[in-house]
Amino acid sequence: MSLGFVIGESKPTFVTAITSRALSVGEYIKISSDEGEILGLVERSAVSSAAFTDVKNFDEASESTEIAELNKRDKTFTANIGILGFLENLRKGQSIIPAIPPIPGTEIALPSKQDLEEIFSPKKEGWVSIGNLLRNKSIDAKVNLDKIVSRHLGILAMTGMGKSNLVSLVTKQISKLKGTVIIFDYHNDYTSLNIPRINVIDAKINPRLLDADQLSEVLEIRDGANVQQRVLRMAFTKHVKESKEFWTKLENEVDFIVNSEDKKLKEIRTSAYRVQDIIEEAQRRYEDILDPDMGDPISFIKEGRTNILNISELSEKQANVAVAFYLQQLLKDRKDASIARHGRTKRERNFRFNSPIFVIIEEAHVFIPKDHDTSAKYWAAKIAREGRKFGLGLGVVSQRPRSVDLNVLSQMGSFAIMKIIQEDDQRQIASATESTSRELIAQLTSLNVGDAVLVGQWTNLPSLVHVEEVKEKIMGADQSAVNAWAKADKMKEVAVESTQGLVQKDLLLD
Amino acid sequence: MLSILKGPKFDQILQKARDNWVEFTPTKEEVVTAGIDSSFNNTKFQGIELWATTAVSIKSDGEILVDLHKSGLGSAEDISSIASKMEIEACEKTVDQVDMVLMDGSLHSQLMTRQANLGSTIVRIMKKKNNVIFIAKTSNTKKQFENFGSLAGDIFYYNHVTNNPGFSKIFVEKKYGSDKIISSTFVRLSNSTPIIKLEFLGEQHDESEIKTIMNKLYKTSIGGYPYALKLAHNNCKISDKELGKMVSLLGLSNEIGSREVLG
Repeated sequence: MSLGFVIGESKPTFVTAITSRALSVGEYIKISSDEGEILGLVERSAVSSAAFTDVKNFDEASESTEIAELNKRDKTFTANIGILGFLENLRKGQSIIPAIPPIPGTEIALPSKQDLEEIFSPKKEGWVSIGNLLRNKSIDAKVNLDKIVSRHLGILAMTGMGKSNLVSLVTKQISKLKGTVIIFDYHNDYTSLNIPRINVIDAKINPRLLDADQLSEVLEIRDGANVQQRVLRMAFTKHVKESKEFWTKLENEVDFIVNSEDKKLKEIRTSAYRVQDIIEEAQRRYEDILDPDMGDPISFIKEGRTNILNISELSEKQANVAVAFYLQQLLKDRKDASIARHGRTKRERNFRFNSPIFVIIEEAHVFIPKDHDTSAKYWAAKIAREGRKFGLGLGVVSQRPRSVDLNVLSQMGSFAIMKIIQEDDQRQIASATESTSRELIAQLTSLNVGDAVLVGQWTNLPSLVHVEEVKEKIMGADQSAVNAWAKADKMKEVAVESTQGLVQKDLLLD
Repeated sequence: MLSILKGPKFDQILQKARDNWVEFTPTKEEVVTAGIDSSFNNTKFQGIELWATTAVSIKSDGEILVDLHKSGLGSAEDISSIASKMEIEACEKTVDQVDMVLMDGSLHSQLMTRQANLGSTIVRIMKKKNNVIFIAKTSNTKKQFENFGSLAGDIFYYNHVTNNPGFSKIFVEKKYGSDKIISSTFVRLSNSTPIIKLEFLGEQHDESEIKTIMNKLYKTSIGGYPYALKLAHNNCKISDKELGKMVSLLGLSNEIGSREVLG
């Protein structure tokens, strides 16, 4: 059935059509051409009414409603359609753009269910369902998991729009395949994720395994306190690292500086006193986080499981150090494994993970910031560049894309982009995702919770999808303050009733 | 600026206009209406002129009843007169199809400025069903208050009488001969909208007929102006771009000497 006609000036990648009804943005259409059938995506849709043009006031608008109903030609439905390629090639996962633009006057029609299923729900290994097409609800939207592990994934959206649900869904699907996932959980969102083979780890830091600068960050020595940092560098010797009594040995080294009569050391005595206090305070405050006797933190990560690394107890600086450490170790391990597998080394096999790993960094704008360097950013960028060679995939999740380093973001081969309102964010996404048209990005403001634009290598085509809700995810939803307050108030009464029974009657005031 | 128009006679003229004004709020009355309009455009290149004219008759529901086109090369004698002829042709083809035919412009100017034979054709068509009305958004006539020394057109004073809907008492003009008598009235269809001028053929029109016509016009008007006329105007426009397309169709844009070579 004819849906409309190509009008105006056509290009090989873009046409405008006048249609018989308003098309939805994200809807797919089919254009016939001499070279074969072409698939297009509605990127912009507009409706205009002749009766309502030049309407200047309420009365005119009111009069126009009646006129508009009378005139069957009153409405003009226009759609801007991005050409995605020949249907025949898209079925094979190739996007071949026609050399000759569709001729104006060419009919457009709706593709069949089968046309769309062959493209968006391939029955191939490695493709898993994450929901359905937003404008064609009967079509399953599948993504290629191989591509996110080999070429990385960016999940970008405003807060509350379904990022962690999508992370949970991707994780659940990888978990079904017995793959290894590591999530750096900054807000304790995933520790209650109720899926099989889950391994929750409270992230701890082994100070022995850090360098002096990292230790300085973990102990929270101020950025500008150069002398204090120098004191720590002097104290944090190889002997300290290898000592059984780590903290005692470190404190002894600082004591030595404090008590030294050396002229140069006397000059930094005040700072050394401060470092002493800091070390002492850190032992007390971060008892559960800094553990010199924990061994290698990587050993807690289990292959073939979903590993939730709970970093919610760590301060931002500590979390940064922890994330950097894990990323560094994981990359090293995967490199060793790859080299060993290809038999190009005489070294003995010394690696933990035999299969690819997918690492997800939540709050990426904190760990991979645009405007300053962090050690986590350094290693994330390295994984973004080199990870594909060693089977280490990176998932970058953020509600502030504008604050995420563009070099890392543009290395992401696939994206799920949900509702984004800020123009700065949209610009950053446009820079990072060359395949996403401006029109599609402009639509991001109108998406609802759970809707996402999928672009990149994990789909055959850019698509608008509604992501399935993960029922196994308990946390992460908005909390009802009203309910919580009501409960808290009830508990107060219960507390009063129960404690009054314990108080001597004669002590109670009337 | 208005003080020039509001001379010593202004209040006197306004009072006269007030006396002529009949307050009437129309109610919507079902009717099938068609609007008729024409347009013309021309372009010159290498000493040749390409001209094009169109005339359209269209119903308020968007159905096009008549769609006429003419174009030619060389100097057209008077393109506006060709357009007028086409308008009348469109009117002739429309009168039997609808209840009310609305012509854009003034019957006065049709009878005064066109060739005599055109005038008689209009009269013949208008008399056929007595359902043709000329409607003008603007009017320069200074007939009704000229003996008061009016400076502005009649429509100016009626516009200053009130903002309420209504119409002015019918003004009959017989200067074109007994078979070409024109009755006219200034009408405001709804509150605070601009006044429009209606012209009918003959003198057998009374106030109750004006009220009925107002009811019918009001049914499909936006901002006090009949929508069928707006549609007709929008459908018959010949833009420079369209004329350019015609030049291209005729293969004239590639003529030697075409300006494109100048980049």
